[in-house]
Amino acid sequence: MNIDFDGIGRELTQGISESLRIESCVQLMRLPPDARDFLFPKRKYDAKDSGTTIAAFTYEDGVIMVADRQTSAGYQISSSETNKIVDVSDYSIYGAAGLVSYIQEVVEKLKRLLIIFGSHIEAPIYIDGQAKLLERILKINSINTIFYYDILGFVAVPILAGWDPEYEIPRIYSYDAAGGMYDIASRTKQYTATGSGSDFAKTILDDRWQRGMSGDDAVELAVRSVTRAGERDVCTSFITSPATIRIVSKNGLGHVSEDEAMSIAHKIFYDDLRRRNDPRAQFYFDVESKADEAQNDEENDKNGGDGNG
Amino acid sequence: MADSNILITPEFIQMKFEEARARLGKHIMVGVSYSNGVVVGKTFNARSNEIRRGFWTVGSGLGTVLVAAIGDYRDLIVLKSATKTEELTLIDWITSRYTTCRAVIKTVSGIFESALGDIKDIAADVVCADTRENMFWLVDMSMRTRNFADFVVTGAPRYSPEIRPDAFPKDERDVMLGVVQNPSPELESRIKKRFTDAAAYFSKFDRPTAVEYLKQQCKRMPYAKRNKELAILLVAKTLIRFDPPSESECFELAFLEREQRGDTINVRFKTDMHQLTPKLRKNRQKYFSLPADNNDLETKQP
Repeated sequence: MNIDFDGIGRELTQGISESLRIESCVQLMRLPPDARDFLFPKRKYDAKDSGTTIAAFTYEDGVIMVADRQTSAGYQISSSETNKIVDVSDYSIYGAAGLVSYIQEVVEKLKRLLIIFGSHIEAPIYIDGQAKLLERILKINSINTIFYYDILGFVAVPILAGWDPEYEIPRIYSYDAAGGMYDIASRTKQYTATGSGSDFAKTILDDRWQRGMSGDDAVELAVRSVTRAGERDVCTSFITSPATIRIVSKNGLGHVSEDEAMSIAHKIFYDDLRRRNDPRAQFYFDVESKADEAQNDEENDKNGGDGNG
Repeated sequence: MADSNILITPEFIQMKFEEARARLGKHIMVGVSYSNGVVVGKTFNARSNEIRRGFWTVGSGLGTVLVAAIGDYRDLIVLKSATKTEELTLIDWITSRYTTCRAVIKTVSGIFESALGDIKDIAADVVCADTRENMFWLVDMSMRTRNFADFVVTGAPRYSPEIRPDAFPKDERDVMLGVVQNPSPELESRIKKRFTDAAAYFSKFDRPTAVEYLKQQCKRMPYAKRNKELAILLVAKTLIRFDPPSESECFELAFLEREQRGDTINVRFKTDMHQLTPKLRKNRQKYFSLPADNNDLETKQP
């Protein structure tokens, strides 16, 4: 094979020389255990450490992935307009919890390697091949940069979802921080979530997900899972930002508009208030009636204007 | 090539090619595709061969690639090892499902290229096929890569007939064996004519003639209508007509076939042995030797 694998390995670990890494580990091991734990507390990064909520599940036509829009920096919201789902190919999407820089690095690396391998085999690499490649990237990074990256908090806990056009099946792969890969679509519960709000999202999916659910139900469930997570998780955006929803089916990539995502989220919230007989409901806006009222007013104005003229 | 200590000159390369061509042997390899797969066949000699020595698969599932090679034993081992390493690399990075003919061909081509600077050359022609495209990819010793739809013929480029002096008339035989040094002009011209006729006759066994034969046959039986049985028949007919007789007169056929069972698609690799009947064997012996027997072989088939 003509691909320079050593080069790929070098590129993945660029900036950190082997001798420096070994020397640092040796120095660390020489410290007394207490001092070592004090200086470098053991970090067990997983999906919950990262401030976000991304969920993916199958539905009748393929897979759907939903993500909130919030980027957090400590106790601050650095942005409420972040798109956390990236297209990897015509039939696959990627979303990850973790350190933004590292998430971006991993997905860029994945895309680059897809080009390299794609040009070698001269054929498209579908979702399972991409998943394997992503696993390798995470594992190589995990092994080669375990020390420094752990200290710096370099972690990515991705979900890769897509459609396999050759076998005509949906696929979802989730990962842990060390690169462990889990084939979700082959399970009975074909859904997963990552990020700090993942537990809340998973609870909603546990409750409501059905095999072969319709597209409309899937979109509603996607918004509901992120909305619920946003209600409880400080690092996940609530109904003030529309969720990003991407769909992959046999027709390729698709998306749900921000307006639709927003209106579904507000409807869920408003229904909650009404169901709980919450007195705030009368002060809160009723999405449908307000929209109808606005439309009626507009039509009346238009008719009146024409009549006067 | 960069590590080589040998001075590589055009003459050296030419010499290596000629040597490799000589080691390739006299037999041909024929492959025909059909709607669900491909069939590749070549001669098989149990005394100096083993089953599936020249046929193996790389990859898995829909990415199964049939590699068929004809040539020297040691070279087949080198090629097999290289293609299997390629498979392992792909398993490591993107799973073996993505093994393609193009990837295998690049590896094989690289082996040929690296052998160019070595003492030993690689004497083999390699054909790859998968069930995705039903197309043959061919790399020959000169590192030329070509792809063919419908069929492929590779191996020995030209057939050198076997001369059987005992089958010639006595006066001609004496001249051929050097018993008579100065034959009469009439006898000399007769022998010359016999050899001219023979040369014309044996030009029928060139690889291009086999290609032309298969071209005609594939026109009659187009790809969409070809099934496994027809493909086997085409390979067998071509080998019987154009592959020179061997000690065993046995053909090894390899199949790569796609099977749909319910929702799952399986790719199956299989090899079969086909032993020629004694009668056909005898006919082929006559058909492929001097003096030439101009009767059509097919009319003599049992």
